[in-house]
Amino acid sequence: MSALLSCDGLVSGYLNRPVLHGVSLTVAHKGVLALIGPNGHGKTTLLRTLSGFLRMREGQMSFDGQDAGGWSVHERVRAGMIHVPQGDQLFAEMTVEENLLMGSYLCTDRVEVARRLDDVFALFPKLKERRDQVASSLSGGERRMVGIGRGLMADARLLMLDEPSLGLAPLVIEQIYAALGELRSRGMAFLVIEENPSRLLDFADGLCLMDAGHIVWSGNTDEAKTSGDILKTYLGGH
Amino acid sequence: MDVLSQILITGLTLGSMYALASVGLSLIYGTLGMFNMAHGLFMTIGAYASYSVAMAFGIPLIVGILVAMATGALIGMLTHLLMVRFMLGTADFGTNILVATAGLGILLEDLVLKVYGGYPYPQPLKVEGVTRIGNVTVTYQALVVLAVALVLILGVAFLLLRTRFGRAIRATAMNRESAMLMGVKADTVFLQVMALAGMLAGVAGLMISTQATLSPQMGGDPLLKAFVICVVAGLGNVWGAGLCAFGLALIEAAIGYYFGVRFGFPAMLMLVILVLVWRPQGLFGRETVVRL
Repeated sequence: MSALLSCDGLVSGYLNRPVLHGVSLTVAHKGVLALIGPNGHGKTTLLRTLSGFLRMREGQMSFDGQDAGGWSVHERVRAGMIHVPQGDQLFAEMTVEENLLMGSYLCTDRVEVARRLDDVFALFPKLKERRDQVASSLSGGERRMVGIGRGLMADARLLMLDEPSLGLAPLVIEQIYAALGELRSRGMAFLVIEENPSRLLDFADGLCLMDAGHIVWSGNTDEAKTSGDILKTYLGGH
Repeated sequence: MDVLSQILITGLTLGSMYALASVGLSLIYGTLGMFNMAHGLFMTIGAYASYSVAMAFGIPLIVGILVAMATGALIGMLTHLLMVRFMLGTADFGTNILVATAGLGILLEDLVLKVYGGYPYPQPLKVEGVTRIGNVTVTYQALVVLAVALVLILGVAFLLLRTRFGRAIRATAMNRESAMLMGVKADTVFLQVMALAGMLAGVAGLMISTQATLSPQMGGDPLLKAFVICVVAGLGNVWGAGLCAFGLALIEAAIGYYFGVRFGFPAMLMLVILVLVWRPQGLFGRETVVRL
């Protein structure tokens, strides 16, 4: 199976301080890769590098067989690499529907946009009820749904989610992951970041553990379940 | 009754010009996060450009308005392409761009002075004649100013609220990084905003020059008032700026009528101080709440 996203020896960071020291990972077509690790060890930096906000200083990166290292943010979005940022970053004073329509900004075909909007409303029926509500008045779970829905509107081929369970109640996390599972069964590829791997053991195919800007362990989820020691060492018992 | 309609008509005419000037200023602040100190000169140049074309070709007012719009948009775009673009995203952008655009304003003002001289010209592009509304005499030109401002401001409102283009501008203003994650090219949006604001400023300049005269310093006073309006409305709040422009102009007209024109602007400044003491974020500004 060929890789959808692969990067090799990726180095990046802020100003003169590198945060990532040679990260390599691969997401297969229709695959789900989970990246876990404690706070402040470069997970978000990796996503910001992949989505083009941070310059890659060294290393290589390809998306769907094309060298993507030099692409701008715009070109990556156009290719279907969609980054759903931490804390949603919604357009606070726009309605739910306007937020979702911003997701499909690059698509100028009205019929196609309407079809995608229906898709998102089918996945998150709650958003349909709230479509005319201003985003800043939504609950945490609804905001997360808008954030993910907005990513879907862009016709994502790879959804890169930064802590989709952050700050949500357990029941709401269930709902979000149920929706993600539905997308997965339709063939969407994911790169998911979480601090806590417990949700991901059933959702992901592969798991990477990140520590201080390095990937210190990687394997499939079965291996992760059996070799629990590594996860415990880094993340505490579960 | 006559007094009231006199104040209303003066206030609405003033308000139209203030609104044209401050909506653009507010749009730039909201989107790029910069104070455009050269905005007054965008107005001056819009007025002079339409004056020159009118003197050379004897065009009608409607074409003059188009000339002012095109010139304003062009100068806005050039400002972005030659200056702002290189400073965006650098440390202390807000302060540096304030100084840089103030410098640009001085440069442009001196250029206008060099080319046209300091002598104040009357603006040939205006409609002559008066009509009466009740017992109040109204110049046709005042009605033209009001109509032009209404059409342009409603046009901009439609653009921002109802089109994909406007949605991208609003999204960039609310959250630049998120907008980029949707595939919006922030640089293009900035250029479009500078063009749009410059266009409004150009027309504002032409309209102001029909009510007074053309002079190289003509942009200074409206720029100051536009700043006052933007601060009172809440920085970057485009709708608030439009409303406050009319509100403050009506107050200025009323004070001008009852106490004398020379008290109009000081009263406006007093009002700003009061608003800032009472509501530092401006009348329509929101306190920023940070949520995860």
